Amino acid sequence: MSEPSKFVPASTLLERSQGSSQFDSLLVMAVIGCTTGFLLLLAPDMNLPLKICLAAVILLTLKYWGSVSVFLAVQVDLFFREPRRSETFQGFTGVLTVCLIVGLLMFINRNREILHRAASLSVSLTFQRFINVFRGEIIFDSGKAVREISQMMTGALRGTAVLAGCVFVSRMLLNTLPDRRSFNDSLQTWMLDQSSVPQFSMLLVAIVAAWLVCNEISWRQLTGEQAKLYLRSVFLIIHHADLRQLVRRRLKLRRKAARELSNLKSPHGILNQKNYAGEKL
Amino acid sequence: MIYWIREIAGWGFVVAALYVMRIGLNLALLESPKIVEASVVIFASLGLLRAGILLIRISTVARICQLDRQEEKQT
Repeated sequence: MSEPSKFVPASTLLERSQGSSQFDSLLVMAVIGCTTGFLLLLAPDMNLPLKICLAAVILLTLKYWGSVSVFLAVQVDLFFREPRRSETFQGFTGVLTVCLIVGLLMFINRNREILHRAASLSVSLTFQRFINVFRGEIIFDSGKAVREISQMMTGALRGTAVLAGCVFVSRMLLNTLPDRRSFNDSLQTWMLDQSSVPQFSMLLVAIVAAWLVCNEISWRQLTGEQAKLYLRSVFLIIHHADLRQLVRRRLKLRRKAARELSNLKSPHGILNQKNYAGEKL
Repeated sequence: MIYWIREIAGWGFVVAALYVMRIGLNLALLESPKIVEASVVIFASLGLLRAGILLIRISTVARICQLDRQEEKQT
């Protein structure tokens, strides 16, 4: 007997509704397993208990920050390895390591919605689900599972192609750019040769200061309506970025429609041109 | 009162941004200029400047809105 398909309605208008997936628990386990394994590989000199604590903290923040926390961990690790010029990031192993890091970040971001869903459940329920997976007690809808496997394979292929392309392009770009020492040297010689650069930078600072003063004076001349409008727009930017995006898209569509309408009504518009061409014929 | 605190904090940010900008310029105008470091410092100062200006603007418009409402109430 196949399990009836569950449909979880969206809690707000802006969220997508979520259909149940056959592989939710497996994907959550995969994300947690991959991330934990990877985090334990970072910072080889650190004590194991401390490492486990840090990994746990990062895993707990995955719900809110997605792959950002893992990315930060990688950056911190790179920062501490930098003086020793670790060989991990050089040659073929370097390319492989970078591919692994970026792949992991993509994997977490791709499965973020499932992580959100898993994090909103109670711990006992999530644990029960994991146990069910190990016991094989989950009833699979074979048709749905096959469809999902094909979707996952397509997604994985697309992700691999994007990853390979990004790593290739970034390696090409980084090879063409000068390294930090030569870049700094060339900048220094350029700056010492050009005596106008310091004067120009001071002028730039003066312009910024003057702009600041003028802007503040003009800002205090706002009418009440303008002030309300600005407050509303700032509130929207800070608290409802998604709503702002919707409003902007609608405004863009309206503007486009208005432009098309004015184009049709104007003497040189398409409609009139067509009429003119018809009259001529 | 809260508007004035915001405004003072905003101006504090602006002053701090100008100070950090000066540090960045000092780095760039050394005998052996450190351009990359200076650019990082100046970038950070621009962030501070933006935050300060936002605070000042918000406090100003909030005060204008409050005055407008008081006038409406009186009429």
